[in-house]
Amino acid sequence: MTGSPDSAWSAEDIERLLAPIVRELPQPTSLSPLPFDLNAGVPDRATLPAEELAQAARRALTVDPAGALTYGGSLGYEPLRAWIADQQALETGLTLDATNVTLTAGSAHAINNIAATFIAPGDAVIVGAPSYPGAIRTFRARGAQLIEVPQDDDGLQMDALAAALEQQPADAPLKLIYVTANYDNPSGSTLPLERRSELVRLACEHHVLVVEDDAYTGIDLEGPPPTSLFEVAGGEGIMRCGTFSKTIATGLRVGWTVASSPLIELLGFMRFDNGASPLLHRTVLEYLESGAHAPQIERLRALYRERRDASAAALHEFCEPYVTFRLPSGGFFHWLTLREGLDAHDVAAAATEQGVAVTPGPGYYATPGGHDRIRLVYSALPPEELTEAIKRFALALESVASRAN
Amino acid sequence: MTNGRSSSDVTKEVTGLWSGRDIASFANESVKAISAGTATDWGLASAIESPILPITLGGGIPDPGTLPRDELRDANARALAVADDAPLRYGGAMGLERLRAQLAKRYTRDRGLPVDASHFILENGSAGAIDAVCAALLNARDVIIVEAPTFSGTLRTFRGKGAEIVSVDMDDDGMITEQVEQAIETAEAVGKRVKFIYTISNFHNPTGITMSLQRREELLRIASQHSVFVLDDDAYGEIHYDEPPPTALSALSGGYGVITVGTFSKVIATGLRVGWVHARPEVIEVVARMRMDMGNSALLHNMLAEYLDDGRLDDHLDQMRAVYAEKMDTLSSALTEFAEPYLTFTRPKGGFFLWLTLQDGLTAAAVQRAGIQEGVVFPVGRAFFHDREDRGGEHIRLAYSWTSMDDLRESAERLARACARAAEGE
Repeated sequence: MTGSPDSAWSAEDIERLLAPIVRELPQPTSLSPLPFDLNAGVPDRATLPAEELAQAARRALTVDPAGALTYGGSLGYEPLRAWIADQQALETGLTLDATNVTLTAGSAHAINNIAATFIAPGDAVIVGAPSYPGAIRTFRARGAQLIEVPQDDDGLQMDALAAALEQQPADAPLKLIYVTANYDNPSGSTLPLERRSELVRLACEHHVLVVEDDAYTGIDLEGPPPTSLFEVAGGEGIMRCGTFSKTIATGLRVGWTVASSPLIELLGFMRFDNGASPLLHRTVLEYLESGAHAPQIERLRALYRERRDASAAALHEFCEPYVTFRLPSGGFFHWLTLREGLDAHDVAAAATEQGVAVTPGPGYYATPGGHDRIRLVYSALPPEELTEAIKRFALALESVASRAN
Repeated sequence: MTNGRSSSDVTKEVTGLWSGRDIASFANESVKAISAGTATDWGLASAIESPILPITLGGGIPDPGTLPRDELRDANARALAVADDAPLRYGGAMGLERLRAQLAKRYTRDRGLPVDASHFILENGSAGAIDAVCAALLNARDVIIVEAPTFSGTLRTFRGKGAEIVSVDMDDDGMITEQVEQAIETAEAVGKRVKFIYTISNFHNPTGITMSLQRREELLRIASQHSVFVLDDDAYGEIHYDEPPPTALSALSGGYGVITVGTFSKVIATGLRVGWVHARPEVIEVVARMRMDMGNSALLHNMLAEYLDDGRLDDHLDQMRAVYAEKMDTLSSALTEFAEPYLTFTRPKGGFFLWLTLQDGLTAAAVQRAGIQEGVVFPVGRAFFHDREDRGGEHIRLAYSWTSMDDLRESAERLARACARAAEGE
C-alpha cells in the first residue's frame, strides 16, 4: 500500500485513545525470580493432580466429544453448576440448584463479572483495609470510589463498617461490600460469627449487596470456618465467589459465583465472552466425580498445616523481636506487623538482598497504609525451605533495624 | 431460599427484607441496555414448537464430524505428561508464550508481515477478545462504526459497554468507505469520539462478503487520518474455499492502527474458548493492563500448543475447507433447484453462511414462522442490524457449517415449502 499510515500511530496516539482508567492501573504482580519466593500466593507444585486430570480430560473427550468441544453457554456447564450447588446446599442447608450458580474463570473473574454488573463509574464499594489487591484493581477499573473499613485480628471492624454505611456520600451510591470472611488475603483473618451476623444485618439495612470472596475454599487448617455469610444471609442479597484454584490447580481457571437466581441471571447478562470452555468444565466434573477430590483436600490441609506451623515456629524463633502476628486458621498467608520504626518497603528490599521475596503491606490498601506490614506466603515451599527463607528474612530485619538505630 | 435448619433471627429478618426487593434495580445501566437480547438472538418470537424434528441452520459452529477429538485427547495427555507442571499453574495475563509464538509464525507466513509473540494476547475466544479490547480502549458514549448487517453478538457487547453504534452499508466489495468517512465526520462535528471501525473483513457474518483490496486500502487511509482503530474480526479468514482473501488489514497497515481478533473456534472447535487479540505490542500491553481474570487456562493453552506443534492444523484446515466448500455447494445447488423463485443469493467464497434476499414481497418473519412449521429453523435478517431494521430487502441467514449434507438438501426443500406457505399468506 502506498502512503503507509505509520506516522499516524505513535505510542502517544494510543495513550490518548485509552479509556482514562487504564493509565492509572498498575500491572499485576508475577512470580519472583529470587531463590525463596514468599511473595506469590500459589499452591504447592508437587501436589498438583496432573495424572488424575489427564484421565478426567480423556474421559470428557471420549464420553461426549461434541459436547465438550462446542459452546457451552455463558453460565457454564450445567452439571458442574449443579454439583457446586449441591455442595453449597450441603454446607449451608439452603435450597440451591444450577440456577444459583454461574461458572467463571476463577474467583478473580467472578469479582470482575460482579463489578461489570453492579458498578458504574462513581459508585462506591466498601473494601477492607487491607484487602486483596486484585479486587481493589478490579473495582477501580470500573471507576468505583473505594471506601476502606479497617481490619483488626478478627477481620473487618463492625463499628467502622456501620459508620461507613451511615456516612455514604449522596453522589456516590454505595453498591457493594467486598469481604473475604475466611482466611483473608492478605491478613489471614477470619470473621467471627457475631461479626458475620452484624455485617449481614447492616448490609441489608442499607440496601447494599455483599460479595463474599471465598477464594481459599477448602483450605481449612483448624476445622470448618464459622457459618458463611451466605448462609447467615439466607442466600439473599449476597454473592459468594469460590474457585477450584487452591484445591485442584490454578492453571484450570475454573471458579464460580453462588447467589439467588435473579442475581445469577443479571451476572449472565454481563458475560460477553460466550462462556468458558465446556471441555474444561467437563474435565473438572469428571475429576470431582472420580473420588480423587476429597482425599486431595485432606492431603492439602495436612501439607499446608505443616507449612504454616513450621513457618510460624521459624518466625517465633528467628524474627520474634521484630515482628508479631496471629496464627491464621486457614489459607496461605502470615500477615506480620513490624516493630515500630521498621518500614515494609525497606524490609522487603533488604529481604531481596537475602534472596527472599516478600510482599510489603502498602499494596493491600486502597489508600496509603500498611507501611508496618509484610505478607509472607507459606503455601508454596516445603518446611525446610521455609525455615531457611525465614532465617534469611531475619537477617534482613536485623539489617534494617540496625540502620534504623 | 429456604434453610432446612432453624435459621437465626438475623437470617429471618434479612431474607424477609431482601425477598421484597427488586434485584434488577441494583444492576447498572449497561445491564438494562442489554438484558433484552442474547448473543444468539435469532429474532424468534418464542420457544420453537415445530411439528417435526427441525433442521437448525442457526449458529456458526464447525461440523461435528471434523472435531479433532482424538488429536486433542493426545495433545492434552502430552501437555500433562511433561515433568514441568506449567499447564496447572497460573499462566500469566498474556497467555502461553509458546502458543503466541506459534500464532506469530502462522501470521508471518500467511499474511506477509513479520510479527512475534508480543503482538498477541490470548483471550476467551474472539468474543472474549472483543470484550477485552473494549475494556481497554472504549469509554461509554464513544462511537463505533459497524457494518450493516454485522454479527449480533458483537453488537450486544458494544451495547453493554455503553457505546454509540453507527452503521454503514455494504456492497459486494464490503463496507462502503465513503459512508465511513461521512459517519466519522458527522460524529466529530458534534464533538463525539469515534473509537473503532468494526469490520468482519473476510467471509463476513452474516453476508459472506469479503472486503476488496481497494476498499481495505481506502478504509485504512480514512481510519488513520482520523486516528480511529480498525477492529478486524477475522474468525473466518482461514476458511477459504479457493484462494485466500486479499492481504489482511493488519499487514496492509504495517500493523499500525489495526486490532485483529482471531479464534480457534471456527477452525478447530468452539468449545475450546481460545482466541486472541493481535496488534502492535504497545496496544497489546494496554489490553493486558485491563485484564482482571488472572489469565485464561494454562491447561488449554498447553494442549493447543501441543496440537499445533506438528503441523496438524494445516492438514486439518485443508480438510475443513473441502468440507465447507462442499456444504456450501450442496445447499446453494439445492436452493437453486427448489427455492429459486423465492430468493436470491451470492455464493460465498469462504466461511459458514448464506445470506438470502427474499423475493416477491416475502417477509423474513413470515418465512421464519412458516419454516418452523415445515421443520427448518434460522435467524431473520433484522437480528444482524444494530437498529433491528432489515435493509436492502428482507433477509434470512442460513449457517451450513454444522448441518449434515443430507439435512442441507432436505432443509432447502423445507425452506421452499415454507416460502410457498408464506407467499400464500398462511
